[in-house]
Amino acid sequence: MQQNVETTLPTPKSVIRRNASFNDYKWGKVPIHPLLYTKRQRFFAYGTTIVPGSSNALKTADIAVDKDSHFLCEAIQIYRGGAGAGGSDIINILNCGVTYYSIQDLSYDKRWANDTVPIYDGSGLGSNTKYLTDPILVKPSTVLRVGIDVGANGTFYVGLIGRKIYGVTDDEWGLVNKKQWYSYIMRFPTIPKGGAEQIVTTQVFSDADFVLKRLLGSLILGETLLQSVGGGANVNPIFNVRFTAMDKNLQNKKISVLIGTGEMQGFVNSQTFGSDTVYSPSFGEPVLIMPPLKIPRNTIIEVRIANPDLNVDLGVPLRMTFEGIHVYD
Amino acid sequence: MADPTNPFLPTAPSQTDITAAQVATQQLGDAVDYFLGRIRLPKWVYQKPHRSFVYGDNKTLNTMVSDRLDITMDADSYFLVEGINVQSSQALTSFNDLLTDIQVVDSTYGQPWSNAPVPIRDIAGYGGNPKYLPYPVIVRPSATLSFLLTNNASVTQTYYCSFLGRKIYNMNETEASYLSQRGFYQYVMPVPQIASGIRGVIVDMQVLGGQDFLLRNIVGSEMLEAMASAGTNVGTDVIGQLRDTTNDYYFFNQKIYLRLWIGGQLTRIVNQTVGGNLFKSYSFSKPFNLRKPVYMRANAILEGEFDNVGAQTLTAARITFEGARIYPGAADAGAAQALQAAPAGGSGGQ
Repeated sequence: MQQNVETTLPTPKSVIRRNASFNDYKWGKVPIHPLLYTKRQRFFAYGTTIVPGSSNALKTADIAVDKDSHFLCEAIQIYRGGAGAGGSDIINILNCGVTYYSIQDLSYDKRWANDTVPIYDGSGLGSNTKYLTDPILVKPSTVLRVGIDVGANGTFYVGLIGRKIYGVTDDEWGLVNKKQWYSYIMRFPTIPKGGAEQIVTTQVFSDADFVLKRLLGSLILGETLLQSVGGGANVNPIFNVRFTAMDKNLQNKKISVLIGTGEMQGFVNSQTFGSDTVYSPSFGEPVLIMPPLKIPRNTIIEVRIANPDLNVDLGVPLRMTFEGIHVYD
Repeated sequence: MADPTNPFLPTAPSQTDITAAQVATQQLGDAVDYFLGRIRLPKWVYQKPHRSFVYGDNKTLNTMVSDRLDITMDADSYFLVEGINVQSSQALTSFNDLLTDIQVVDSTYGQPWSNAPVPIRDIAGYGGNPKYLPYPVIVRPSATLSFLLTNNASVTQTYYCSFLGRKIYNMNETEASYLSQRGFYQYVMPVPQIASGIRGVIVDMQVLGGQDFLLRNIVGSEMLEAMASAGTNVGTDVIGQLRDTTNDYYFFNQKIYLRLWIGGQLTRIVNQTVGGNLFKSYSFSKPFNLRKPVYMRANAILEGEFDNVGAQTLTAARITFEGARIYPGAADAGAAQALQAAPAGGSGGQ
């Protein structure tokens, strides 16, 4: 029988603070379900190493979650090491280049995004850990398949950081997973010079609503805009997001991706002091959607993007990440 | 009224339902929260008259010299240290400020805030930012806080040091003693030089007797530099595992890349010329944060095991473990009192 916790347990302020309603949790106002705080738990991180080679194909490695406990994944971090590479991202954070990753939960064949994710969108800008807005609870013995897709050699180190939680039942796991962190990835074609807009769409899955919390475009900002286009010239695409099912726009007009998809991470510069060379990656932040925007299932997310400023086509691979949560019935 | 959609949540009482017993339980609950680091301060502290205040001073040190900078607190109030900021005269023109070790000592207790001198950016904030302590420290009136500074650079440096926080009035000794049972603390783990291909280098770090340790952050500014500076064009890859030998508690499923758990890469100054002007910019970085802190008992041994899987030699460097020292009995007593008030309760899950 369910005990009345209010009269049988001390009620620390931390518990009261977390004592939100289920709807608060489900719709993302509370990141972790209150019942999980009542379970025995401890910090833990799972890691693996992937050497994808230069084949430009997804190379995967499996992380097996221990069978003794559930794992609450609260953060994702991926670095490129120095071994086998022409330089590691500890020297130049942009050395990861055009890299994508994916994570797939094989216990029920669930991916954490609908496409491979640009590495800095999904694993942190700069060199800081990426904390999920809404952690994911993974079952014991689950195999998490992590993939890296990059067109260059290198060793990639992947960390899934969070906590082990003991004594979670299947029913509780099902309840907690009424909400799941998820990213929709938008791929863009060549964006021609002159301002003609390209329209790209993606559709929210039919089995869950989506709450949009962050918008990221590190690939556009860091990897292409300032490096690959026009011989070092800057280019400034403008875009607008529209949700067709709601006939609602996210912006009043097309705005620069520089202000619409987050702060750009800076380039790395080196300096010498003493006998050492030191390096400085900087740190960017995504655009936060405040308050988060509820997007009903089956809604088509439409992005209209144009390239009016530069006299060349923007033909490099571009992606934009819509990050948030799936909310199931 | 219970939430009908969620059978797992307890019934939330309305305001009129709260009884004196529940208020008492609430206070005990606050004690549990405070000693286990879930809240910064008990609520009653905020009810005291208090105001923002900064104690600061500066000290010039010749090259390769150690000295101390004493800062005396005012006699009129207790001081809650919530942040530390140290900047060097070299900070804006070079990176020599990074070649500095700092240890803070509180004369109130005669005990340092770390088990060894700490790399400057692990204790005094990254870049130009102050370091805000995850767990503030209460300091008594007229106490002396000292910075023990070591200048390892080849130039003379002036250090500008400050403690940020608030003066708290009308606090008594009993209350201060209560707060003092938890305080900010750092343990430094020195990792020796590791040549390329060497595996299984073990370094032990022991929690001091007489106090437990709540590990909240890991900072490795010096280690990140060592990894980055290992080669001309490439860094070196070091993987590691942490284990609390007292309870055979492993932190990771296997040895994983150090950068996955020692925080963001250290901030540096970047020179940029825009038009005819030279700008110097700091970037921003953060410690590795254990969202679920690890509670380590007194005398526990934290064992680090390291492999250098890169192609370059790793120079010796330190890793800093940051959190709260908690004096014995504080957390246990709080929990025991609370459970005594509610004997049918279960585990809180810390």
